[in-house]
Amino acid sequence: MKQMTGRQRVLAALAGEPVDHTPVCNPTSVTTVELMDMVDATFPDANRNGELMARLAATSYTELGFDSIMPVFTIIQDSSALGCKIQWEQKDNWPTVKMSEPIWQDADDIRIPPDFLTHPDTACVMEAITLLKREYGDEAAIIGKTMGPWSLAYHCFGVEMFLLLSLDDPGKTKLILDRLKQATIEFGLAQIEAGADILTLPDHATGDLVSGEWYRRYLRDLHQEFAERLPVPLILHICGKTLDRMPAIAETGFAAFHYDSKNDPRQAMELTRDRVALVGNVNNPETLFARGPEQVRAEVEKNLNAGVPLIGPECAIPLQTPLDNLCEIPRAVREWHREHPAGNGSQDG
Amino acid sequence: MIRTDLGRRIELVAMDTHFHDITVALHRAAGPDGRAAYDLHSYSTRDGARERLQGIAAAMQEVAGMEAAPESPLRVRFACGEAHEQAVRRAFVEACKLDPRQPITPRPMEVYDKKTDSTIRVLAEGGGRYRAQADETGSKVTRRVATVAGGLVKLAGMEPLPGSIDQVRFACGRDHDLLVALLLKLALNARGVLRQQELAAARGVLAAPSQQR
Repeated sequence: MKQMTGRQRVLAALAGEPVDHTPVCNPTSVTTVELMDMVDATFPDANRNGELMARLAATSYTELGFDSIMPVFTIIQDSSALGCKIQWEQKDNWPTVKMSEPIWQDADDIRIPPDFLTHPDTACVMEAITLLKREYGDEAAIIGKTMGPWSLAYHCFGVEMFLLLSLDDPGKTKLILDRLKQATIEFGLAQIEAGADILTLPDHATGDLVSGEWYRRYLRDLHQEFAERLPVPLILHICGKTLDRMPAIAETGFAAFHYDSKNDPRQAMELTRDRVALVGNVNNPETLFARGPEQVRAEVEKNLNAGVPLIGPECAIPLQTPLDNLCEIPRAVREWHREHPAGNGSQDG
Repeated sequence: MIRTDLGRRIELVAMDTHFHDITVALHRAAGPDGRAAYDLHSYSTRDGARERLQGIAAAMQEVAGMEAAPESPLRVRFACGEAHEQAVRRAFVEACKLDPRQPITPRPMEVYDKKTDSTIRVLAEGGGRYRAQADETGSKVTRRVATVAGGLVKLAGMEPLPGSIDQVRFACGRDHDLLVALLLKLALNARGVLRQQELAAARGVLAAPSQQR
């Protein structure tokens, strides 16, 4: 098969089409403090300045050898533009929303600000995507990110309050999600217009707090709507044990599900095969952060052997992750393919 | 460009407060003679970054008794040829904390212990063996002496001497007085030091919103 570019490889795998080899894809951040030093683009500035954001994000392709570039490192850009208070932190830590100071109490409080897309913390994302598209658009897949309404609700209402509401008042919960979806769509469309090939859509109905039943009740239909209204392949990201909701996720029309290492790749493939692609699963805190290339390779191979069509870390990697371990992911994929010329099943189309 | 010639990274200071918050790393290396050695490295392209690394390497020699490896100014090792990796990690972190504008002075082999209002000393007994002792007596003091010995085991990777609560040794059989002196104060609260180390490592790990406060 003719050699593909990273962009072609990722897009083909998301569409379930043949690929020359399994793409290495980062739907969430793969940046580290050492990469920040390398290109002189450090947090928190690289989260608020489009040029720095693009420069740092490009290292996933230029330095690590991934097939994609994802400049939206944080999960708080849209929440900041909605009015949430942000703790921006320093170079070595992630910014967070001050959820102890929720900005809304009730569905009627929800207002998408008129400057939502021109706010500096969302505008820098579009600027970064534009720059990356211009520089790397033919070579690497440019992935944007727009947060789903469940995550936005956590940020704007507080986790505890929103979870309790979901137990006590399903009607109001659905109303909140329905109103917040506008932010998800607007931010997503703006990134597509700026040049994003793909969007990651994190919606933190995580395995530790939200059941599969909750996913079906509150999010499946909304996610189907996103798949219809956002005209690029969408990658849903949910952390934790999610096997119980994978069949429902497979019904949404999302192109891929970015899944956690707490789920067995073979089981996950059985639940989703031919309906939604899987990506992720390489463990962050224990493997990529704390162990060595041999263990990274073992997890990559476990996914390839299971037929997982895109390989990558399970979530945004720890900022102190050794670069050796990250470089091992594409290296392991290439070597696995040399040893398995017939591919891992995703090549069958 | 990512360096592929460096060995395994064993310690990282994510923000060097004495030099523009650059990231400084310590990598395990093997010298040409096969002896264990360590390379200091930073991806920072800032002017002066290399000099800063040389300063940290010099500090590790001054306060931890390491020596410069002839093959590189950014490589340090122990004269005994052994790795003592746990101790080197701590020595590296401590060297990064030292203010480069101040003269570097090795630490003494004694420390004042507030809890017992006594001075605890570590005496070199030769052959890599050390004994902790205090200038006061009593069961509380004895416990603190044992704490210091245990702390050196935890922080420096030393071995407890069988049947003794106050004696420890380096497996290499060589003395490392400066290293013991460097770690002595920390050994009084080794558990706290290790907890801090864990917290520092956990910084930069993104938690899902449901896990954030």
